[in-house]
Amino acid sequence: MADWRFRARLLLLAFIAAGPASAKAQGKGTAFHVVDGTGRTVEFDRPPSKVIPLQPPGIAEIVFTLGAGDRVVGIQIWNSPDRSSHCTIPPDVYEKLPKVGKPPMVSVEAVVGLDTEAVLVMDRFVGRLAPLLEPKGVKVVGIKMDDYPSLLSAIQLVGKVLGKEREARDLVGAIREQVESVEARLKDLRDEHRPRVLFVLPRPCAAGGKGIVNDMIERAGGINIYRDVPVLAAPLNTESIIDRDPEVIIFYRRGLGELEALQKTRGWRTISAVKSSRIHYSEDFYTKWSPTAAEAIEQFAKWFHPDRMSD
Amino acid sequence: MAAAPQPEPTVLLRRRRRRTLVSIALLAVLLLVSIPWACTIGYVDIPLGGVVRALSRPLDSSLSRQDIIILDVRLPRVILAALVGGALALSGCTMQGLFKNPMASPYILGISSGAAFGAALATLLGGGLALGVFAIPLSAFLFSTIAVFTVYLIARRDGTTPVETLLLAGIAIGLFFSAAVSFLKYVADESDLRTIVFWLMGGLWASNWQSVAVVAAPIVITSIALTFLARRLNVMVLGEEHALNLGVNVERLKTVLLLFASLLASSAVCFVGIVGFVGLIVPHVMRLIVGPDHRVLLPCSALGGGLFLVWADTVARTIAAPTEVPVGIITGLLGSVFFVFLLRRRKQV
Repeated sequence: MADWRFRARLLLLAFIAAGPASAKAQGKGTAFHVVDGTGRTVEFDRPPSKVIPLQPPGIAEIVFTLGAGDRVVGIQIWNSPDRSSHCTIPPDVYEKLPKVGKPPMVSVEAVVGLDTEAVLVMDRFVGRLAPLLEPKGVKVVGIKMDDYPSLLSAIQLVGKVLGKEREARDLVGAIREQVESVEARLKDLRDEHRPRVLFVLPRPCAAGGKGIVNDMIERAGGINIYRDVPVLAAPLNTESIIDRDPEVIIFYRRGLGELEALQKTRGWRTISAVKSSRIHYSEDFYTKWSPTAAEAIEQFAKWFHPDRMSD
Repeated sequence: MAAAPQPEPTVLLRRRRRRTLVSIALLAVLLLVSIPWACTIGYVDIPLGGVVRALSRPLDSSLSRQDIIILDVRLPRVILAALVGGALALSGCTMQGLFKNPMASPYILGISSGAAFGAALATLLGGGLALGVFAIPLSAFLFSTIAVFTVYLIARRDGTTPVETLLLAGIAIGLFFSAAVSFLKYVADESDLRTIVFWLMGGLWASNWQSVAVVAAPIVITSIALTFLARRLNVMVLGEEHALNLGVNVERLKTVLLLFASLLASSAVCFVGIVGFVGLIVPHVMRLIVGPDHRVLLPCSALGGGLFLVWADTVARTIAAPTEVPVGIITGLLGSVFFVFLLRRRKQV
């Protein structure tokens, strides 16, 4: 229920933001500068009216949620089976937008040809793209988004670049409110009440102790059984899963043939999560930082603590 | 030769035959010991007694978690490693003999690229195939077979298949399927991409009794059949004209050898992905140890390949515990270092 409310709020925000704000942004000609996610200072004469958010969906979702979708002139190819659901980029808009390559490739020619004023890119791509694009007059803004606090500052940064600071403040407030309400319900949670969680990523790998999924699991009151492995995705080892005995298992997606091999073993049936059928299927959107992250954290908390999360 | 004392050749021959029998027996014993031994090693600490107890459990008795880890996780995996390693080394040995080329490997006729394409395609189509667990292995097997047959058809002309043409056709088809795999990687989303990339590095993580049951029959039967062709393979190494003069039906032999070697390689890779270096290096190592006679070399390669992959996979599944490393990385690293060591030693002799 709560995620419906949240999504309605996002939608409303997008509608309110779309009209007057963009007009204001283009009308005003005051120069400003931002310090981006890599620490570079980027100067602007006015908020750019033609932008390309690269490495979809994360950054693009922020732009669309802030109501600046009409300023997006291009996008990179993003093949995701879950493009239509849980994503604030409207699918028909995505289809119509000119494609400027597929990550990690960017067609410089296409970006320049679309008269792009600024590209918003994940921080690790700035070093490679800035020397290619900036001499051609395209500003490059690095966005750092690798944990929950940096998601919030990324939204504020994108808001500042696009002249949507008020909308960004509201969005950050909404996300914070949702996450805080989860945290409030999980207050005084003792460690023995935190379920051991296995999150199965493709290959299959398990989510390790670094990165978004681990962060979300911890915020939702669970313990990632591989939090001691300092990687994003740790290749699965059946034996250690049986030994660490997860109480909740989340698969990143449904219909994975290879994963069934795991489930055919007797060892699989000794796992607590299997015995108590606490197996859930997530969608791709749980494994990316975007404005929908709060939704994912709340969903995790419902799976981990149904007693505390029920209204 | 003529000046040599009379009894020496036969004595030498007898001595060599005894030595070769000893090598085969030694490797077989090593492999048989390694299988339960490798089962004692893993992320979960299980003492030797626990392993023996689990292995001697009567069927249908109630199993502890420890027993299940031994019987259902480690044992099928170790056995699959032995089968796959043996199949790859045997296939590689056959190909090296057939092509008279030290660079030949089980993958020389495009099997790995074909299998990779099949696996990648099945990954992208995903649930659409409704084959579940078998979607990727089946598709990998199918496309590796298609690749080999295409190579064979390209090379065949007027009833003959010259090995040089086979080699070149293998390279061409291999490159074609590699490009096709690259294309699939390009269109894949991030999660499918990761599945494909890991498949290409090889891994035995998904082994269970089912996969052992499926690949055991073709691998064992083909291996036995190949061993019977060892003498004729020896004649082939002398050169095709010699073989013809000695009354060998060269074309038919080539076809049969290709068929067997390809079947072995396809069965090996379809469940575990592209495990490199075993099929290339193990036969060379064995040739350095037991000599070039295929009657000895073939069984020794099969046993040695199994032995090598069992231990390489034991390293792969424990070195980064609680997670693991794709076995292809381990076989590559261990295999090349060991091989260089042997090469250097041979030069000094």
